[in-house]
Amino acid sequence: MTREHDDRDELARLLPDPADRGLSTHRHRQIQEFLMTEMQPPQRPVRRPRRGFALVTASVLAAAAVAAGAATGGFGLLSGEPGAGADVVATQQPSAETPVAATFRLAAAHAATQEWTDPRPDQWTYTKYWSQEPGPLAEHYRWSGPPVTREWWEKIDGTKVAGPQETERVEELVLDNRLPFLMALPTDPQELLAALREELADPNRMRLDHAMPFSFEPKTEEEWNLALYSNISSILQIGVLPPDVTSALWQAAALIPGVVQRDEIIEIEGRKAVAVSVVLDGWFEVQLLLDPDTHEYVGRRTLYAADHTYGPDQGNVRAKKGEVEYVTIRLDSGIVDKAGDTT
Amino acid sequence: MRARIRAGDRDAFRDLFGEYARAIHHHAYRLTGDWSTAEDVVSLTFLEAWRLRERVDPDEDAGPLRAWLYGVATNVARNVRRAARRHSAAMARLPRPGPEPDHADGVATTMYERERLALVRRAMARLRKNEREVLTLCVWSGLGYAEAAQALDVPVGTVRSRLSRARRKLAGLVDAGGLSPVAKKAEEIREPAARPGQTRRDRTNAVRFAQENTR
Repeated sequence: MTREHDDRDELARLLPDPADRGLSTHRHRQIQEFLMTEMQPPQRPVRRPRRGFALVTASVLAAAAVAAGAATGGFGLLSGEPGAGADVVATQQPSAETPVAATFRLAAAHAATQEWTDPRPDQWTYTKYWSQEPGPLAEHYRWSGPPVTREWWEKIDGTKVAGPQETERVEELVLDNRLPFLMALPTDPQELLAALREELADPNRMRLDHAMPFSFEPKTEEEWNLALYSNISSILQIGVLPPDVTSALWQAAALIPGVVQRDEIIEIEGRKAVAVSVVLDGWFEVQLLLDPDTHEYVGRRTLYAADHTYGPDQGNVRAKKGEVEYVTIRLDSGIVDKAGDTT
Repeated sequence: MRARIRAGDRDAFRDLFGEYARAIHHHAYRLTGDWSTAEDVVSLTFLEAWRLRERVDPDEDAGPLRAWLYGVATNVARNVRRAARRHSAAMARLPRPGPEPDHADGVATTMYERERLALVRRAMARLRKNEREVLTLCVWSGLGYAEAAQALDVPVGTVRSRLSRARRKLAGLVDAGGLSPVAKKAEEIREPAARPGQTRRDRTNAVRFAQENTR
């Protein structure tokens, strides 16, 4: 027996191991989830806009037209009887309405006509979605990969979330979700924007936006616009909120300065979509994707509107114009009785 | 694996956590003597590992990452407050333990277990901090001398001498009657049967009272 074993064996004989219990499975998973959330790439210093009013282009004019539409009642009539919204809105079309204003108006109208029964607190939202992170930054951080289809549940009372864990078995996690906050959002678009901004600004409430490839703390108004727009897109992804709230979300998106509509119809996973975007500083674009016929939410996407080179914190990653960083398509959603149920 | 950790691959960190979280939790408890602190050490260890990931030796032949991770954990346990300050924002977001009995109060409430823990604490208190670290790594966590040396960033000879010194001190404690070799004792001690009407809490309090009077 070596001296190493001599000392170790003797010490083991003298002293029993005091650590005779361990983390519970629940706590183990809770800490793991916490760490996976915390382990994000370093915060990227957000570039300041190079210009002020020089950036105000057709997009702002378009948004102004949308806002004018709202102010003149184009959106304000959406809280009427279910089933009547679309027709009412169609008749309220402002005479100088821009394409992006029309898209948001029709999306809000579509949302307002959806059937709805208030869920019980013990029920869950169910969302099934397809997503992919094919972009250069995702590649740099090695979280890119083939497209995935995932299912996710959130309890209406806000206390739990659930999804397939490592074992592929759906497991409930005791983690707060935003549903109580989202379900109670104001149905006035301006008030809704203010509520979202207040929540985003609260340092005690962690908001992760999976569409953003870098940590993002808005400072300038342009950055706030992007953050709010991306936030709205993430809320719409849930797909199961009261129709008046969903409608107000579309109206609120229309009020964000800088919204532009892309001309082309794109196709992702067999779904045709029209993209309505906000662009940060001319290079980073967040898109809401809508069905071109029904104006229903399809998904969201982030991509590069211009070539861009990140700073050293992001490994000086170079992105080319048109490269997609993140894209997701909602496949299904609904209210179910328990985690694991589908619609 | 080393390359993935260095590159900040979150899946690699998830695997690392899955493989070592419980072992690090035990290691932290052995060093701090407190389960709640040990739990914080687990979180802080992996936050520190994430922060220091680029310092991992890229040589894939250098073996598993166990020694490096134990080194990070040992450093955290040496000064939990400092590590907690560094990661205060993140730790504020760590969900507090729920109502589930993470460290079920019924787990270590037998007389034997209480006595055993008191004995170990008493013995550990006789050792220097660096001797406790070596003992914990080599005896209870199962690291070899070379791994422990790597974890503590000291020469192998230092590990050997510290462990040897710890053994001599504890043997001296046995000779002085202050410590019994419990590997044998474990077979002899049985929890006394509860008296009628006595609850587990009664026994726990009784043992605690006894412990306080033996310090």
